[in-house]
Amino acid sequence: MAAIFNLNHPASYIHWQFIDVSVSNVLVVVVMFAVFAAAILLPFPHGHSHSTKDDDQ
Amino acid sequence: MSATSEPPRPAPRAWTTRLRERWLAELPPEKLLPDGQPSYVSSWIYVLGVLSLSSLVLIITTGVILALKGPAWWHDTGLGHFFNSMHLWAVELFFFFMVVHLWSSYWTAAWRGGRRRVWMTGAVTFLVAVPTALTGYVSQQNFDSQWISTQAKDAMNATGIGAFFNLMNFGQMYSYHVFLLPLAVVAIISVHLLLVRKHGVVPPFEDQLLAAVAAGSSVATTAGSSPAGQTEGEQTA
Repeated sequence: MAAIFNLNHPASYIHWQFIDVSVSNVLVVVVMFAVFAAAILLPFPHGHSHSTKDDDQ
Repeated sequence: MSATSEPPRPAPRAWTTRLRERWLAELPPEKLLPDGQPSYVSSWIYVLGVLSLSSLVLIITTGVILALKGPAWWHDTGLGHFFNSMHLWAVELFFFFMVVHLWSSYWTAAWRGGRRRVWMTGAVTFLVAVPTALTGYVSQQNFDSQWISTQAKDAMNATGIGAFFNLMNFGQMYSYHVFLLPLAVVAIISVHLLLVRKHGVVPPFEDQLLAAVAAGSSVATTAGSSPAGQTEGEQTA
């Protein structure tokens, strides 16, 4: 069965001055930034309304 | 009967009594297992810590199974490959969520309101988790682990700490990976969670400001105070 990603080759790297990082690692960092932004911006679902400590006051 | 009898001396308190009383004073049951959380916790950004913890549970579960079955099983059987991959990807998720959790904690200044130890235990967890993962990579028992261990040994020697441990010694690295370092990670995270329960989740900056205004005092004197009325750790301890 063929793999989804063909890994039978050297990894691609991004070189910029002293920075030397693989493309896959860059993608992970980009996804981390995306998750960070989404966690801040996306509304949190309020499935059930149990009283929070704020509401008790 | 003498009229000058001595007053009864208090019974000496056992260390267990003192420990229990101190524990209940620091972390009473309603703070350890609260009924609810402040409304500001209803945000995805506060879910990242729980996701890190869930990943850790998956890491430990799959790691125990791998340790029980051994290298021949995780290399040569389909089920072994599956659990080996689960272990690897749980580690990837653990670091992913932990780093984003650290970002959110940093940008919300999660050390406010006497929460310094909460922040420090979280940061130290990350530092201890790195060698825990490294010792796992060099314990795979394949060419990949041999390559990583020789490269890492050069790096350790370059920093001057290579004399204290040998990354090319499988037995030593495996002991670090399955016992010493996981024990340290779990212990530090346990302290981290207890401190979060004790101090409460750090409120957003605007809530802190509103609480300070409502209390009629400066922000500096109520730094990190929760509008939910959570105890502010060292300020009340």
